[in-house]
Amino acid sequence: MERINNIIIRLFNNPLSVLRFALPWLVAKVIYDQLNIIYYNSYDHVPAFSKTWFLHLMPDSWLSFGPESKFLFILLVVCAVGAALGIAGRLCLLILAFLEFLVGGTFESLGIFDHNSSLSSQVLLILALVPGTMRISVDYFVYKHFINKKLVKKPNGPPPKWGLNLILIVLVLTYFTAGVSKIRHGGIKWLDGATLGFYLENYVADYASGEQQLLIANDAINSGEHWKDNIGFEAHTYGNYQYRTGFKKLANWVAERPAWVIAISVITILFEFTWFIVFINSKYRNIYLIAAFITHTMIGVLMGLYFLHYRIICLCLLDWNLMLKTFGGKYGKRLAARVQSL
Amino acid sequence: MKQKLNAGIYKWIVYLLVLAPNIFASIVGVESFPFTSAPMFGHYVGEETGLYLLKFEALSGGEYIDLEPYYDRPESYFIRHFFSKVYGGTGNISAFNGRLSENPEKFQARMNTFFDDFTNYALHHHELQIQKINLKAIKVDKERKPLAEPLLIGYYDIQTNEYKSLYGADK
Repeated sequence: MERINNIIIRLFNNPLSVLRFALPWLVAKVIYDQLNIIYYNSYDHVPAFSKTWFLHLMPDSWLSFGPESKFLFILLVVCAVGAALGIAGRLCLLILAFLEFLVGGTFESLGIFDHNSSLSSQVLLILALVPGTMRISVDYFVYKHFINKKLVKKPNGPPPKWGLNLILIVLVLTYFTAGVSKIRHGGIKWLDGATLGFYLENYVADYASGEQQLLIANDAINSGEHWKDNIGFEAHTYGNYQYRTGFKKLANWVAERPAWVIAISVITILFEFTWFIVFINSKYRNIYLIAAFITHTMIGVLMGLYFLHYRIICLCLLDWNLMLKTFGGKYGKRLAARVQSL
Repeated sequence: MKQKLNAGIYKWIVYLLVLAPNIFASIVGVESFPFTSAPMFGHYVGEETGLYLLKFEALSGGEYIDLEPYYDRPESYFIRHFFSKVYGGTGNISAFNGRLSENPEKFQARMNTFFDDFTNYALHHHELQIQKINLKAIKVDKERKPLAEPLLIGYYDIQTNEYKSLYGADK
């Protein structure tokens, strides 16, 4: 029992190591999928005008992913295993982040910005750079037992908090900027629920190729100065990718109730704009992270956009010590007291 | 002491490295992977909002053909790439790319390059000889039912290697 308690304490005090174990597999899988899509969609080069900021720093020869890029798949597997287990962990994390900046950027040039992996790839970069990431790893074990035996006096004690805080800041910024974008592009009328109602029912797969991708043109733009056309295109739409009949029925049910979509729209904006309060204390932090987890799960159910990376990151950023105290009964409180005393 | 100072400097360098591009993308309202202003679902879509399908129509062998079968990738990829990276929204800043400015010369150069690339691609992968490509927009409702006749908004002439916008042509 004591052994299990020690493991729990160790895990709770090292969320960055847990995150380091969980994320690399997911990011490597995304890179693998993106490489396949790039290759099988005859995407032979990235035009200069569609390069991302990061791709502008790369030589053109690195932006072609033909059959010869098989070595990338091997590199992906090696780096995913290395990063997750912590074997040359920081180097593997750096390489994985770099690869996703490169491949995800090329994928964006193809037309699709993967918002799921845009956060997780940055989190990998952060994990490669901040202290505390490697506390539960093969690297740490080897260093402690064979190279420097006096390395750590209190192996279960918490690492510096700034790494975890940085990840939290990036997460907060992401949600906040999503709220800002809705008001910036949609205005206050975004709260009337019409936009949400539209997307809940925009099942692109129900339409033939050639009729799936819509562009949005708003009349307000037509009154301003523009010179490309007489229409005033503003944006492309996104789609609902849910294919399960039961979930589609649920989405339709929600979309057909104006009071519901208005309420969800207002709650969404309030939620996204108030993320900064997670820095007040761990209680707010946990409430928001759990709410984000539930929100992404619901978006997954209603729209087929599950945002697994976000949900994993939210779970790892929870203050699990507080969770223990709140929901763990007497055992949890005792354990939490031990964690705090370290 | 020196070690602590170095650790402090390192910490702020990492913060700056990670946060600066994110904050910049957020403030300016652009996205460039992995940095984003998160524009998903942000543009308003209501009853009065204009919704359009884009069509590329090629003059080949004396007749006009729909180029959709020649995209060789899902339509959403093709149209999103074209709109986000090539055409761009109205206004100087578009939420779907990382460009910080826009003007007719840059627009013209991108359109010419895009159509030049596409006609070469169609020739080499499909042996499709294209003389001209019309860019059309069809106003539709949410169920994609056309609400008006297709509107020709510009064309690319392979002889001149130039895209010609028809904006203002009817005035």
